[in-house]
Amino acid sequence: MNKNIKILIVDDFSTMRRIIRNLLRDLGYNNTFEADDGSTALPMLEDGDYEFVITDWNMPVMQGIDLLREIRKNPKLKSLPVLMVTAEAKRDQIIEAAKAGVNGYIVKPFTAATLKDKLDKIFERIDGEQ
Amino acid sequence: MVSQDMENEKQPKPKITLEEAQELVMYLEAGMQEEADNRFLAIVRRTEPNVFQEVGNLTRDLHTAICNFAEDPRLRDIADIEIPDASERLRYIIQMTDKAATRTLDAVDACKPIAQEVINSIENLMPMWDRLMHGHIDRFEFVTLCHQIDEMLNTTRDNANTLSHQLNEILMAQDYQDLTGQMIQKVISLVTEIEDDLVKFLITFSEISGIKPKSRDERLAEKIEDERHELTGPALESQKESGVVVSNQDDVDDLLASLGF
Repeated sequence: MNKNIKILIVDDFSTMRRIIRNLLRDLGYNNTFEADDGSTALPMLEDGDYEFVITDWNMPVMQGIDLLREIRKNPKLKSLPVLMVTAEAKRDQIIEAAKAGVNGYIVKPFTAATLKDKLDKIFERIDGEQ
Repeated sequence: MVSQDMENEKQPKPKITLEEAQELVMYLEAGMQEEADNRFLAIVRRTEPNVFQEVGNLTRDLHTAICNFAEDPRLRDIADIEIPDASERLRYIIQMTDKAATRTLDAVDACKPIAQEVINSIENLMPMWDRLMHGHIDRFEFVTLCHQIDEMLNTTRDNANTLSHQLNEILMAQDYQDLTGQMIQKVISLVTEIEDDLVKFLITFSEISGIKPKSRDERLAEKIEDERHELTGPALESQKESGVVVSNQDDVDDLLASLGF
């Protein structure tokens, strides 16, 4: 997998963005950027050649699930892999995210190993499809 | 209550007699509306006096209870001072945890490059060191190696000092646990006190009006149903027990697997 892949981290808490960024750096992914909610993330995705999105669910203005739906609706972005990292742990919500086309779902609090595992799985599947 | 008592009587007294009805009709035919109304009310009051008395009692009890509740000085304190104070405490806790997390992350950011530098310098030394250990080194290489080791020892000593200092930072940043813990404890005791008062209030009213509140389980079930589509954030143990919420990442993975992921 190309470790120079451009990743956008979307979370309203700067602490969580820093944690994810640090974990990604440990895994060798250094090309990471941050947005604090869906409404700031969407224009960044439209303008920049991002290849991967990691997003929280519960954020002000535009929530992660809505960002995911916007991404899937947008012809330019629709095949962008989206990994959801969220404290929302209700079965209904996980099913909702799956139906909206999420590529992976991690519940907070999570470990570095879980993040690595989900990233590897998503990339494996994408590589398999290509 | 009242109607039951009436039904239980073996031979119920008629609620209205023929004479009374005729009297009413007479007033009405004569256009004496006021007299008819008064007579009608008198008949009703005579047959069911308890209803009026009951409503009167209830109103008075309710009034007294509300007055007591509203005039309770402790309650005024809670509303005017302690709830705003608790909100302030909770906001402060958010700030403190945020500060502690930032302080810790700053220290981690400062340490990471140092750890990398130590790894890099060891990896640089390793090939020549290996040759020395196997006796395949000449005098010129040996001198170079000594200089490299000398440089590494000096930088590593400085780096170790920095690491130690940053680890201390991380250590000190954990004081938030103690401080916020004390604040959360205060908020919990306030919430418990309000809860107790509310429960007392509810019990008083259910005695007065014969209201049977729903059981805790019924209400909990309703609450879970209401919150089905709301975002609730981190799951509580009680939610996990109800099965609406997954308990860990394995459950998430199983659920997604069952959906074909």
